[in-house]
Amino acid sequence: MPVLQSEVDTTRKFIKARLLKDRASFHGYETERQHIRDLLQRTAELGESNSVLLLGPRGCGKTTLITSVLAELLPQQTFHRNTLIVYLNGLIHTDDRQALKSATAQMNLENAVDGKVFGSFAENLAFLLECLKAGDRKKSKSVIFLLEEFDLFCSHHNQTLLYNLFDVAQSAQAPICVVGITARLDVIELLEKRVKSRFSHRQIFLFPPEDDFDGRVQLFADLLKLPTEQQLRRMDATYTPIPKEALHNDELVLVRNLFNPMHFYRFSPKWVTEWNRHIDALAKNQTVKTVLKNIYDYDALEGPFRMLLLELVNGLDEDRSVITVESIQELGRSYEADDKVALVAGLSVLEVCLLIAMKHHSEIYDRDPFNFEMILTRYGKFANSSSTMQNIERSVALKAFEHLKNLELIVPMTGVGGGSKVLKEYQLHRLLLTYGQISQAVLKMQFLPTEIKQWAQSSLI
Amino acid sequence: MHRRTRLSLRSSIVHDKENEHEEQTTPRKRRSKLPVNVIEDETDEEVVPSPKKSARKSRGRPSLPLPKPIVESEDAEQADTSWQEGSASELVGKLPEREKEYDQLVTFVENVLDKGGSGSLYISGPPGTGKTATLQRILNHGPFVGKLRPVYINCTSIKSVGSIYKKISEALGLKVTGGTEKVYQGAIEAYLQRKHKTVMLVLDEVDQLSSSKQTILYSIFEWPSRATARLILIGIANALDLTDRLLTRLKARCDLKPHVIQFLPYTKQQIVTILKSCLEATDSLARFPEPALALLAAKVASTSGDIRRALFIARRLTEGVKKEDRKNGTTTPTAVTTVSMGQVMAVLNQVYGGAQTLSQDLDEGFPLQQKILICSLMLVLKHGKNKDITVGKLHDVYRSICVKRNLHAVDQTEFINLCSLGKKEPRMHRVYLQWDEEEVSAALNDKQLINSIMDDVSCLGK
Repeated sequence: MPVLQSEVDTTRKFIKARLLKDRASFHGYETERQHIRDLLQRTAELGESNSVLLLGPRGCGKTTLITSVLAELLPQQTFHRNTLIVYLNGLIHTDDRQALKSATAQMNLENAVDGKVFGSFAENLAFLLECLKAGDRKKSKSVIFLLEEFDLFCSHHNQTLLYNLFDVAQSAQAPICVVGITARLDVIELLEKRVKSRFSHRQIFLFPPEDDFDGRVQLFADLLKLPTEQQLRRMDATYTPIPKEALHNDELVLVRNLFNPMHFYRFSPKWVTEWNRHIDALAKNQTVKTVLKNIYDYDALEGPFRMLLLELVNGLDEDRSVITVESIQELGRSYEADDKVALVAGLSVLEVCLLIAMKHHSEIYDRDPFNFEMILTRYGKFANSSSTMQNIERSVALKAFEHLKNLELIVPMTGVGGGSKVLKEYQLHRLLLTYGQISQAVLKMQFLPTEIKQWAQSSLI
Repeated sequence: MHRRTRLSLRSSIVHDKENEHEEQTTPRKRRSKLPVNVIEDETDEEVVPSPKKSARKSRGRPSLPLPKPIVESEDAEQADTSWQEGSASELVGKLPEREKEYDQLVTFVENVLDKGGSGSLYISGPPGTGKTATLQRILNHGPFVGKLRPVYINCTSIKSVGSIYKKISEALGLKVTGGTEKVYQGAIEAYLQRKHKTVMLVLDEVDQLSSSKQTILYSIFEWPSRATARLILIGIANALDLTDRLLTRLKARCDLKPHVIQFLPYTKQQIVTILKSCLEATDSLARFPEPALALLAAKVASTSGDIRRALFIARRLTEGVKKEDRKNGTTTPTAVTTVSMGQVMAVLNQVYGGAQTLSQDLDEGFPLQQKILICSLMLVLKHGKNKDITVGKLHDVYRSICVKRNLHAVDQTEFINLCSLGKKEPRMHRVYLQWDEEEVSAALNDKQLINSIMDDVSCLGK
């Protein structure tokens, strides 16, 4: 079948956009999602104050969960008119001063003009608290504080911000909901005693599902398939855009530019059936399954897996209009490849010889540290008997040694014999490679002279 | 110079603004200090499904046509009226199980008032034992209202230690020109010299004021010893020995040494009483059978005696039960579902047993490779002599296990990723087990493969 080039292009664009931008659709973790949704809704509509921590390893969908809940709630009049959302990130707001300024600006308080906040930290804090205290459950808007990288907020001075937020949340002032998102499971131990006492101990854990390899294959197919026109129409019917006035907060980037399939969708039905049938065949293929299984054994989280698929889709162009089994195998290989072996394989022959000498030294002396002189002697013994490596000057060898150090294949020891006071020829170093890695690299280098390969096998010359 | 003037200009603008709205809302400022939020009260209103709330749900906020800005002045006035109508009367005399401390405080204050002198007091206790709430009650205590001038300051809401003087003088309503610490301090001391109503200064979280030489704490705690001061100083903090640790110099003179009152953690019986009185106030006691309450209270009392925690847990339980109610569609008040012991246990486990849930999830949430990694670590810990384990060593063991079991062994780079270390010299990095050994082995034990790995000493390569 002659494939139109534009079809492949749009397919690539569509799938890439879906992998990257589709932060609003979320599957799995039904009870957890419902829990968060209930909390936010109750905060908005009944004026309750809540605090909750969302915990889980990186890439398991914590932010996606929150985004999907917000994308569902924000289109509702009753929600977005009753709430202000304040988004703080521990990586951006590195101290309480910045966090406070940002919060004040996002809440559009009186002392904020055009996103600039006036006054010192103390004044701002007093002002913010005054505003929150003056509020009341029935009359004032609810404020939802989303604190991403929550563990970093715990390292602020005296945890002032956290104390004050939780204090407002547990006493009957303006209704606020504090949602902390973090990857550290023991984050609650970082809190000070008085802060911990004010926190409601509502922790929601997200863990990847157990041994769900079939689910992973299903996910593989779902992420790569194109929606049929029928499905799309159904999606469009339920999709409600977030109204403009709910998006006035500039800092809340989570719910901006969400994925809307209608923007991209220009496929002929024939192409869609063709493509989907192909993907289904791939998902049933045993070789593909093996590759996926290896990746799954290593990492069961969804986030990294999506990034891998992105790599796969990137390869599509007019020459390769479909995803092939070979390209997936290639992906698996590059996933499992050892970058240090690749690095060593790119070194010069002299540098590899030095590495082999280091390997022998470490094997003989059970990983004792070495300095340049020891390695040079060992290498010299070999070079004298070899026909190709004779007559290499000491300074050239030292240069090669330095290069290895710059690549961090060896590191100087700290402490005795390693300090910068010692001459660099006598500075002690450690090898950062395993023996296996060196022998793999030696096998990989096709151009090495045979005698070096033999020397790598045994230290006897 | 130029910059300076601009700054001062800006700050003066801010000041003007603040002053303006202070003028507008002066009555509020006063009152907002009086009806302070007693914790119990809050939970009453929030936890329990009172008819008031459900009514509000149907016709309250959602139907409001206009978005409500968080502009202060409006907000505040409305807030005020509601306070006056409803809760002011409820607040006084509503702190069960703290009667003794309350009486102690009242006699202390009365004594000081009778003599016309001044006194200082330090209150300590773990968080959640009702220190602040009791103090708020004292501030509102009927006979004192006319005679005292209450000043309540929470010291966590200030940034630098020195700005406490400013805060106090603002609270006293002093007119101060200039802005340095010294000026404010002088103003307060001058105020204390003049004739005035007895001031009751409450400093919450007073340990936040400690600085390298403790000058501020000392100067504040020395105020009551002035002849004309007429000041009752009350400091609240968690540490039992704060006065001994930070304020040793005060011991030298008898009249300076603050009295110390301790708030002990609530016992089981006390927690039950408090919870009951809370639940009774909103007639949902029927939801909680006696043993469930007792279990909850016993668990909380045995670890921290923190009443906040007990209330939070009670709130969670009520939420759960309400959800079930809705599911079943029972709306008649006679047929409410009660909290079962199982639910209590489940919530308690969630709150307390972070690690236990971890090891349950450990069973499910791990990919195979990570499980093997943990196993190899356990194996080395159990049978190896050297407890000092580097990643390199661990990898060797791991690899031999994998070879033996015909599993695919990952490379070292990935292995380091599995350990999720980010150190510069990964091979030499030491590995420790964060969890309890027994717990992990208990969590792993039930798998056939895992078990056999754990018993296989030969992989250690000795």
